[in-house]
This record gives sequence, structure tokens and C-alpha cells, in this order.
Amino acid sequence: MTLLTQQVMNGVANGCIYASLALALVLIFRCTQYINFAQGEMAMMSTYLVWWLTTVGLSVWVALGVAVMVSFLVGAVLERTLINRFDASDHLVLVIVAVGLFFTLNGLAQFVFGADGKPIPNLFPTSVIDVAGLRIQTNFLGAFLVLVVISAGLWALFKYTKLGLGFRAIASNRESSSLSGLPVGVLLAAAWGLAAAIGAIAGVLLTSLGVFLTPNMMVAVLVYAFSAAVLGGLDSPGGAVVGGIVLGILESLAAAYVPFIGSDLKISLAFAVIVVVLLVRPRGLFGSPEVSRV
Amino acid sequence: MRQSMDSVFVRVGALVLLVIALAYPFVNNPPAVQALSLVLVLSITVIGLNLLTGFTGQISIGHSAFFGTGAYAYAILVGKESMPAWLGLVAGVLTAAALGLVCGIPALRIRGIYLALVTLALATVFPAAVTKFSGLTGGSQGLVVPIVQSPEWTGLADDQFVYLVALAFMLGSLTISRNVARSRVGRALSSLKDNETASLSMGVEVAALKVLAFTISAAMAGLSGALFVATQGFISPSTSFVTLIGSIQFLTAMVLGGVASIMGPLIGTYLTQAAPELLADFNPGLSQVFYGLLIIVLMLAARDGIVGVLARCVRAVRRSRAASDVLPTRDESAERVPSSTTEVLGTESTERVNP
Repeated sequence: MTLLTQQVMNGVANGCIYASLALALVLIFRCTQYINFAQGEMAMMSTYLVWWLTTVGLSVWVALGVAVMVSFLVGAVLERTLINRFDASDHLVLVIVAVGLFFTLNGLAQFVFGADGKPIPNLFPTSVIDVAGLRIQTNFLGAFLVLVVISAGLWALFKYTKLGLGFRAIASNRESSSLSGLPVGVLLAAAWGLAAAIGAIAGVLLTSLGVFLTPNMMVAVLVYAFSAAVLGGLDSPGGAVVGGIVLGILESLAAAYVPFIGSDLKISLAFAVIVVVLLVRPRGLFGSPEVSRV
Repeated sequence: MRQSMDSVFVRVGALVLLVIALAYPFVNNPPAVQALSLVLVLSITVIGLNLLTGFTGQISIGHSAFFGTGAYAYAILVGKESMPAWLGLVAGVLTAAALGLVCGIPALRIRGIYLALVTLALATVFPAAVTKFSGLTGGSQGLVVPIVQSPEWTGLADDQFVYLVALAFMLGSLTISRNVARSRVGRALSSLKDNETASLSMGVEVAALKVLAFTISAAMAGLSGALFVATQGFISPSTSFVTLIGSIQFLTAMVLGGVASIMGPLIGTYLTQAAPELLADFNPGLSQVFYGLLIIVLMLAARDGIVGVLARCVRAVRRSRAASDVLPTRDESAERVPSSTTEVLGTESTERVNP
């Protein structure tokens, strides 16, 4: 029983990372209808920034704050200078560009920082607290709280701010939004910036769970995040959170209790979830059905 | 009149290229011959990918898995079970085609960006699966397979024989790809890329064609993988061509050469294999940066790749020479389904026009 609860908690902790990155993917998908395949590598670069800032003496929380702001700017600038040059409906080209970006950032990290793992100071004190007989590691709890804060923040942003209203407007009809005088370009840039900022948090959270920072750190996480986003519904932020945590738990339990899957094959679980969901229920658990006019 | 001049020109050019290609192993040292053999082998995957992505517009970031399936089928049969090499090649093609068929059926419902997701996940799963089934695949240690030897009656050195075999298979794949592209099936396939609904209403069997394209494409990748093992003698889950990195290299090669062109894959593979080698001596990360930036720049500036740029230069020169010609010159848009099919439905033709 204790093993089971431990596995579930491990799963929830990993799930928080998947959910955060999935939130970033969903944010961009909602506004633009495409998937940023380079999201994980952008997050990895942001995490290197945090690492560098901690090596020059900043505390990890301050470093994270700086990295979040820098990532926001870089994401927004990237959208304005590169992504908006392409026709948003041409998926083939956008996928190829994102893959190019993926490869560039991954290679750049290898070139500049090398392949060996870099340690980042933990965001949370490492101890174990007792909640009603459950022994919970503080960094797990911290990851969960951070996810709650991000999701609540995003929810409030979408619901109560003008920026959020703008996001919802361009998600529902970009052309009309533009005709009604909404600054669509600024909104898209803001969406990319926000996604990059959330990615930075996801990257640092992952290192707080004891993963060393390496150039390939986010590749598998990206696949899980895709899977989480597809499971929850690609245009549903709430779905991304639920999908991420469900996937984290599934992964953890499968690796522990299904000998055939073990730790080697657990990534195929993410693959299976993507294929099954897209075949059986393409809009995911909470997404809105795709309607297309021909 | 010009048309026949063109085709004569193209045929003479192709013949000259073929002669150079045939003479190459006899005037170069073994390392150079081996390097070019590898390019020929890898280009078969890119030819297959081009058939799928370039002509039907279905995005695959998972061709490393098909390549790997063919490679492991060969390695297991020939390396572990000591079967003859030809059987390994056939098995490589068939297993990869079977996997392609299995992946092609979900691809009927999963389109565009979603298919890219699925195939990307496939590319990350493949090395993990190989590591898992270590009893069969040798796990992370990989498998060592005897390299194909030159039969005595040919009187060729091993590297020359391997080169010529690779060349023959590459030419075969190129011919298949060219014939498919120019056949009724090929025109139907490229109509899918332009407007699927329109093609369906014109009587194109969309589902069957998509699965067919996926299967042929995967079979070519499998052949390429089997030949890779046959000529390199080694395969492991960390061989870059069976990982996501491999998939991206194949995609880069396709884009670089020119999407939906016939010769593009060969040129693209040569460049992605040869150019970064210079940089890789310095740092492997740097060659990745080079690839990545190259793809982005190509998408910005020359979406039709090197072949497209060359074709446009030729056309521009010709236009300036024969500005007074009344008849419009025939360009590659004639290869596509007439745009009237899309105009009927009132949607824009997706014919790529460079900005």
C-alpha cells in the first residue's frame, strides 16, 4: 500500500511537469491552431539561463523570476520576427520550422554547455512532511503548488483580463478580431511569450525533482506533454492539467506494476495514449469538437 | 519544340550523371567510395519520405522508426540467424512496409499537425523498444553483422561492390518514386495535398491512396535501413539514424533538396551528410545548429529547396531570353492536378508561390 501511494505521488509530481509544458502547448494551440514542437527545447534553454544565473550568485527563485521574464520577451520576439512570417494554415511548413528550431536550440545547448548534467539548486527545501499519515516529499508538494498557481493564474487571466478576452477572441475568430480592431499581432506575441515563460517554470520544476539539466532533458517530457495535451483536449487548459497528472500517474504505475513495460517502455505509453485518443476521441477529454467548413 | 529540346537536355544530363556515378568507385579511394555509398543508402529513406510528405503532404517525423525496423530485421536475420543477405533485405522491406501499413491506417483519421505528433512519438518510442527487447535486438549493445562481401566473379573490391549495389537500389527507388509521381496515382496523391475534399469529389480514393503512400514510403525507409546494416555492419539504438535525430536529418534532407522534386532527396542527403561532417569534427552540436538554421532559412527564403532554386534560375534565364515568345513555357505546375478542381469549390489553390 505504501508503495502504491508512493508511486502515485511520484506520478503526480512528474505529471505536474507534463501538465505545465502541456499548458504552454495548449496556450499556443488555442490561439493559433498549431503545435509548437520546439516548446520543450525553448524551456530547456530557459532552464540553462536559470542555471547560469545561479552560478553567478543569484538565488534560484530570483533566477527563475528573471528567466521567466526573459523567456517571455524571447518568445514574443520569436513570434514577431520568425513565426508570423509563415502562413498559419500551412501546417507542413510550420512543423518543419518548429523542428528546425528544435534542432537549432538542442544543438546550441550541446555546443555551448556540453552534454554533461548541470545541477540547479532545488526550488524547495528537501524534507518529508506528514499529512494524515501520508509522507509527502516537499519538492513534490512544491511542484504541485506551482502547477496550481500557474493554472489559477492562467484561468484568471483568460477570465478577467482584457488580454485574456483578446486571446479568447483570436482563438474563436482571428479575422473578425482583427476587423474589430484587436491588435492580433501583439496578442499572438503575448501568447508565445506566456507559453515560453510557463516553459521556463516547467524546466526548473523538472530539475527540482532531481533531474540534472542536460540538452536532451526536455525531449521525452515534450512527448509526455503532447500526450497530456491530446488526452485533455488540445484547446483546453483545464484538460492539459488533468491530462498531465493522469498521464504522470499512469506512467508511474505502469513502470512499477507492469513488468513488460518497466522503465524502458514507459514512453510508449505516451505514444499509445496519443494514438488511441486521436483515433477514438480526437477532441480529447475536455476539448471542443473540431468543426470545419468545406 | 522547346519541350522536346528540354527532354533531350534532361536525358543527356541524366546520362552524364549516371556515367560519373558509375565511374566514381573506380577513380576514388575506398573511404570516399564508402562515404558516397552511405549517402546513396540514406537517400533511399529520403526518397520515400519525399513520396509521402512531398507529394501527399502527410508529415512524418517518424521515418527513423521505419529505417530502424528494416535495419533490425536485416541485423537479426543475417547477423544472428546467419541467413543470406537478400533474405535480410526482403525481410527489412516487408517488416517496415507492415509497420507503415499499421501506421498508415490511423493516419487516415489523424491529419496534418496531429500526424506529425504521432510520428514524432513513434520516433522516440523506437529506440526505447529496441532497448527493451534486448534478447532479440542486443539491447543498447547493438548488433554486429558481417558486411556484404564482393562475390569473386565480379572482380570488384568490397567497397566498389557495395557502392554499386547501393547505387542500383537508389536508382530503383528513384525510378519507382518518379513513376509513382508521374502516374495517375501520383497526380491523385498530389491532389490530396492541394485539396483533399476536391480530390474526393473528383473520385480519388483518398483512403486507399494515403495508406498506399505510407506503406511504400515506409518500405523504402526499411530497404534503406537494411542496406545501412549490410554496408556498415553495425546497428544499435544510439545509431543516430534510428533516433529522432535521424528523422530530423531525413526531413532536413528532403526540405533542402526540394519538396516534391525527383532529384531533390539525393542532393539533400548528400548535403546533410557531407556538409555537417566538416563541422562535426569541431563539435557535433554545431552541425545540429547548422541543420536547424538551414531548415528555417530555407522555409523563409526558398521553400522549394535547392532543386526549386535552380529550376527558377533556369526559368528566369529562359524567360529573359525568349521574352517575345507567345506560348507560355510549361513549368512544373502542369504536373499537378489542374487548379480548376480547387477553383470549382471556391477555395484558394495551395500552389506554393514564393513570397
